[in-house]
Amino acid sequence: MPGERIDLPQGTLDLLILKNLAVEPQHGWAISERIQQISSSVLQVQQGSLYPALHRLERRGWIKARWGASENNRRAKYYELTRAGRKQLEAEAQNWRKLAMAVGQVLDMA
Amino acid sequence: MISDLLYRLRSLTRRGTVEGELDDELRFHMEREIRKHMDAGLPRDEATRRARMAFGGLEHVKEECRDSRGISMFDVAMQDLRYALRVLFKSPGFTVVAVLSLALGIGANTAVFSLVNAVLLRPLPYPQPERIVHLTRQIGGEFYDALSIPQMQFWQEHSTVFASIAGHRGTGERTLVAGLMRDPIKATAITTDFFRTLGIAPVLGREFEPDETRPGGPRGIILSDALWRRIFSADPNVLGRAVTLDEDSYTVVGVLPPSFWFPQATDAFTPLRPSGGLMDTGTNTEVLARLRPGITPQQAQAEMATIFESYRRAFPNRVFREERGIQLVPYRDRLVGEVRTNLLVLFGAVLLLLLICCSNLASLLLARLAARQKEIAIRLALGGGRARLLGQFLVENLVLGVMGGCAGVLTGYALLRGLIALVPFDLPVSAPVRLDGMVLLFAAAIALGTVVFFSVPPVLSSRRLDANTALNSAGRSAGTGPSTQRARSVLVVAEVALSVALLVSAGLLIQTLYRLHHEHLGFSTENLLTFNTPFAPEHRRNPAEQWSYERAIMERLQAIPGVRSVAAANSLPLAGWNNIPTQREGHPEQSIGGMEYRIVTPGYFEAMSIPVLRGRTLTAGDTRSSTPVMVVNETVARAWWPKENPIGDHVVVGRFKQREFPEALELPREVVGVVGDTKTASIKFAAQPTVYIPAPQAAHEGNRMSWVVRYAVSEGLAEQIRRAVTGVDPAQRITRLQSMTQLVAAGTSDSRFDAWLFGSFAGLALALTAIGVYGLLSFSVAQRRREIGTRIALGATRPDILRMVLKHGVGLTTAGLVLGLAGAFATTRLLAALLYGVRPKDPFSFVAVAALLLAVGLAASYLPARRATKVDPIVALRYE
Repeated sequence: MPGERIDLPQGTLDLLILKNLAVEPQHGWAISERIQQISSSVLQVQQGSLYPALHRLERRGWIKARWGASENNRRAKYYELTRAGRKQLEAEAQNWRKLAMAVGQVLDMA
Repeated sequence: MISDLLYRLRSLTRRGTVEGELDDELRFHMEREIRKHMDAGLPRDEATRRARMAFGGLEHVKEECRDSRGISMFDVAMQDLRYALRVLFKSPGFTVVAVLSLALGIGANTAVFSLVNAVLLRPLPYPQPERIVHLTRQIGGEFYDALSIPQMQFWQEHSTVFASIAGHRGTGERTLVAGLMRDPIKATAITTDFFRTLGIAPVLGREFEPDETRPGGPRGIILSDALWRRIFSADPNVLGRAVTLDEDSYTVVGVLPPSFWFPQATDAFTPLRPSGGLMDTGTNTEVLARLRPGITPQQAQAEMATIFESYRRAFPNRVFREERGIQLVPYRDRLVGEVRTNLLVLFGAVLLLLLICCSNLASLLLARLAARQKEIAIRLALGGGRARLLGQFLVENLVLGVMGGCAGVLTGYALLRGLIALVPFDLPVSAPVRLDGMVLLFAAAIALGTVVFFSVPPVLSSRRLDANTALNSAGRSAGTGPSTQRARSVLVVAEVALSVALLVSAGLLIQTLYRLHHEHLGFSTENLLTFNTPFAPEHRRNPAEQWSYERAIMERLQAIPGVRSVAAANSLPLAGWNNIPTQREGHPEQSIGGMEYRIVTPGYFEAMSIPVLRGRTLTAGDTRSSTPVMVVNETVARAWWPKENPIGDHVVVGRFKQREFPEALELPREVVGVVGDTKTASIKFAAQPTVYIPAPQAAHEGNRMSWVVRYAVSEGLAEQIRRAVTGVDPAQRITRLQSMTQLVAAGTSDSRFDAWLFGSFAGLALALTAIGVYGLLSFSVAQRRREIGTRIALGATRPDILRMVLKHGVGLTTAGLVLGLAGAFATTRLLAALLYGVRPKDPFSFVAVAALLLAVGLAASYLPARRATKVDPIVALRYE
């Protein structure tokens, strides 16, 4: 069993989704796969919790949805980042980095 | 923000599509996940299982998605609403009773509040109406609304706190002649600055100038908008036109805007000018003033005291010994003064009624709640949260509240129309009373209040809610729960207590009406018809002609078959004031300033059945050429001749202490008789000192005569009277033809209104309370069947059981009674202004109400008690 599966808090999931979509528009399953890849399967995203998060982000206007054809020509719902979303991502990423640094420093010092 | 709202809106409106899309999206995910596992070599069903596990519960995820779409709260509310409506329509009996109770309570309050709003709350239609004050004269403990002209002028000269100060006096009905148009109009005399004080400017022309308000100055007239349109067809060149008012010529100098309102209905305004004579000394001019900007009412009041001192020093004999000064009263208070108490008391009464209705309804709801224990238990067991359950109850109460509120507004509208028609006092309102925004807001607030009131018990009892106990106890019998019993008992006690207040008030007001009805009037009203003959100015006769005219009419009236006696006077009892300063000759200190002055035809006292106590009555022998005589009433005799005989002494009308008033002065008259007192202006006031002059010896022309006809047969009398009068003068008008009983009743109409209204409220309250006690005891008996059965089985007799239940009912009633009596004792003094002949703490009323409520409580407990005695112990104990 590779490492421990840590359950993600809500805000982090949002951040990961936005980060994913910063690269290119994707549908829900692809996002789920990518998150699992990137986190080396350490972070266990309960797949089901992805979708409420996506809908919530869509409601807040940070991502927008569009139905299109998938790789195997099936109908899929693609999400992409909006301008507001991009700004939000920038702000959130900065906060994370600051927090990580602070925590890192505290840990180093101890 | 906007995208958020749009998103939510889309989710609401395109629900089907959105659900379908969600389905497709999640299905896509599942299929890809399954294919991923199958590509890794797993068989289909294993792949499916893995995918499902990784995903989580499908329905759960869908629910979460719906949640994050932000409409689930709305969904929940809609569900609750549909359920609430279903529940309410399944028990139509309860729903109808509930909505009707609410409609009654809310409707009555809405109607009365409309009145309160229109009369007491709506601002007067003048700019900054709170700066307008009314000068009130305080003499002893009494307040008088009018000043004398010299007083007004003194204040006008000496006050510094007013931007303007003006006086007005109603001059009654006059006849206006303009070209070919001739109309009776109502006129008011005003000083300069009158409109400026109110803050209104004439739309054409101007106010009166000082020149016009001094004696002998030019006569201007200012028209109301309605009069201008009616008589002059809104002619813009009306200024300068001449009109005649009662034989005097006036020039139009101004026209008022259509929105102008004055509490005394007025068609035209004329200048108020001092006459230099008797009218100047009378307290007959109302004075208004507008405070200067920056002056506070306290500052202004302080200056009134200073000015009064100067006035007292300057004119010591114009000031009464007990006169305290001038009180500044906000103009609105002057207008609504008497009506205010009545309206507020009425408002208090409907509020009490509403509370009683609500208590009844709350009790009913509690019973229903108790009966729904099983349903609640099941819902809890199936996983519905407590909060959700409470939400359900709240929505049910809200639906009831909304339905009750709407029904209430409709009821209020109907009640208001009835109320306005029945209200006996004048409502000083500038615009019609109606259900405006303020009133609707009030109705909504009350409806909301009742909803909150009903929701308190379920919220309180919900703290102890849990599925287990609910399921267990629900099995036993419908409506268990000692807490429900307690709560309902509290409500019943409250109902009884509130009813006491209404019942005691009704009792006091009904007694007032009774006392007024049985008040000694001093004359007989049986079979007495009365009417007035006003004398038009162009038909004025000199006193001698007037007497012949009256005699001719009298003879004709006497000739009507069925007529027993006929008489006339310049003013009848209970028809107003008419006084002249009068003095006992040779005794200047025995002067009465407000001596009531009556000119009567011979046979007046006989026709009215007024007893002659000493000396003789006035006869046909008292003619123009015989000795001038007069008759006085008891009050005068007591005041001026406490130990002596008044007969033979002399009295001078028109003289007061050292002053004489030329236009009223008469030759000294010999007193020939003393008659019994009669009421003067109002039933509620004591008789005033009065002198009676025989009509043939009348010194001045009058402007009308009031007639009384004592009849034996009333059929066709009115018609015959008309014919008799017009037979003497075809142009003579007859007004106010009515029976004396009607005239007297008009004076007590407001007390009658109060008594009826409160009586109805009290009756309603009593009925509701009886229902409340009955309902609670039935509930209690049904609940205690096992206990009763046990008691009977153990040897209790039927009378024992009967007594037990009756004691319960009477106990509740007594508790409520004690509370209610204490409360009523403390608050009935608020009614004092409406009472006559009975004290607010009248012990009889309180005792009677206590007895009545106890009797009702007993009666309401009787049926349940009897039912209790019929309990078959075997059946009761077997019932598990």
